[in-house]
Amino acid sequence: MIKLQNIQKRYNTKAGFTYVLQQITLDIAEGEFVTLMGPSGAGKTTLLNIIGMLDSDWEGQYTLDDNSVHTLKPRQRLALNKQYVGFVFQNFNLLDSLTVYENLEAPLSYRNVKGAERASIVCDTLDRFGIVGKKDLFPSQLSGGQQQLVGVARAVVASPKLILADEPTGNLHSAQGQEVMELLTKLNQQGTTIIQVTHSEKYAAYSRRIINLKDGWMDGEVTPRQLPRKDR
Amino acid sequence: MMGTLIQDIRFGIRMLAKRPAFTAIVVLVLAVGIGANSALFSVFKTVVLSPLPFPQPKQLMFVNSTIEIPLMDGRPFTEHDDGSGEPVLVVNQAFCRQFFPQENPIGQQVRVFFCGPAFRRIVGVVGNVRARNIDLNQVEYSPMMYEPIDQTCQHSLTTMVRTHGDPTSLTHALQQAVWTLDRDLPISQIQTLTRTLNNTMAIPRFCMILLFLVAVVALGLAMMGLYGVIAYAMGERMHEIGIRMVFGAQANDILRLTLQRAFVLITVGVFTGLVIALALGRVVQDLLYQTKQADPLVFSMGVLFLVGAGLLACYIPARRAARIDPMEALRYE
Repeated sequence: MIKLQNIQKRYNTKAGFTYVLQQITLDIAEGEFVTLMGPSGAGKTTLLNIIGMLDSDWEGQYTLDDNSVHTLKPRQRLALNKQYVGFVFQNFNLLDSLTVYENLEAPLSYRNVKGAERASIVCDTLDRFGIVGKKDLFPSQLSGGQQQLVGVARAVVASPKLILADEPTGNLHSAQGQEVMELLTKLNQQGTTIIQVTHSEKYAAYSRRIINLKDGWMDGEVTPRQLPRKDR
Repeated sequence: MMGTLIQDIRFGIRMLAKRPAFTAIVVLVLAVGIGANSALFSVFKTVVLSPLPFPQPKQLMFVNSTIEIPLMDGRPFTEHDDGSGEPVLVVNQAFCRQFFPQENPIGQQVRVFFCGPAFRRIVGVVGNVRARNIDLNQVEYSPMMYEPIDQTCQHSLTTMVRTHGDPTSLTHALQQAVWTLDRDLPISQIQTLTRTLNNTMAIPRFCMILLFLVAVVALGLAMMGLYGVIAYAMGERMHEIGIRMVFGAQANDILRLTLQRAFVLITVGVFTGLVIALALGRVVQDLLYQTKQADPLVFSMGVLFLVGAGLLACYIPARRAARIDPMEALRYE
């Protein structure tokens, strides 16, 4: 599904080029659950943003299904993003002035889904995530865990093939984090490809592949079984 | 489409309620803008749409039989109304209305003090004219009395001459004509009616120009203020725009969304501003010529102009926001 070849991202500074990502070559098949791990500044989020087509300033070759992303213009990449990707953020990024219902409705409204169908999808999603009772509340009226639940619901409401989760448990306590990870696992079991960024080996263990990044380079790949037992 | 519009409007109202200070500033700016606009368009209407800014402009001249003052009743002066004849008067309709509201003024005796106390008989009634000055706001005419030239004891005389062609070319001929009668007669000034009219209107015109300049400055300030607050609001919403782009909003969606919300803001501001402007309009009423304080045409032009200007002020930052890189927008906090 995702094929990255020699992906490179750099910034031009006074001191010369600063590389954030270097020669990233990676294949991710449809239905996989992959974790990107590494210390801060390793380039995990940058790589996630490139895969999500939010970042268009990079070099290399990126193919998403049959689409050569590297040949597309930024606007075309955003259109492809709309078609394929759902995002989950560490800080939830819910729209504060919209209710839970409206937050879920927003992605559909950008996909030309008709009103009645939109309402039906949103209600289904609210039901699926067990947040029907919260539909008229604003994000500020929810706990962190509930906000992330809405964040995940918003990411899946348009039925994306790929979910990109940038430290989805970063702002949650242990029980809430576990709940979100179980939710992501369930979505993956239903066929959605998931790529997450995390610092936690405990949460990385929910995925099937763990790709380590260091200083912008790929630093090996492990499976959850190869992780130290203490964190699992 | 309609559902999205309603959702956007609902969201816009929610945003306004959430930030009352910002809303108050926008409303204030719009109120100033509407005030400036109404003043501006009052002057525009006065100068462009209403060529002569006073009622019944055909009756502008102080005219007698030479200049066609209309005789309404009785008779005009004749050659018999000389120093040896009965002292007579011709009065205007305003005079009759004030002093003889229920009676026929013709033949009535009036005690006047032109050359000491004396009785004069009214022989004619003429139409109302603005003889001494043109008070543009004065709708009522003043009572006027006319006396025959041979019965007057005035020491100065204004003579009106109807000409064909350029009247200024006759200045020398007119002087010669007067001096033919008496070489020692002083001529204080010879000027055209146009010049007389211009002199009369100099102060109102100055007020209008001043008002126009103040209105232009106020409008400019209102526009800058509107642009400033909307650009500021857009900056505050960058993060939200970033989130929307991440979830599928395209440049056109962002442009439409921001313009729709700006329209809600401007509409609320305009209507509130209208109320304030109407209340404040009484202050400038005395300077508005032939334009009522709540003139619909003036207010419509003002509102349309300001809504257009407001949307234009939104369009520039909205367009910039629509083109922003989603990652950059997400970094805004």
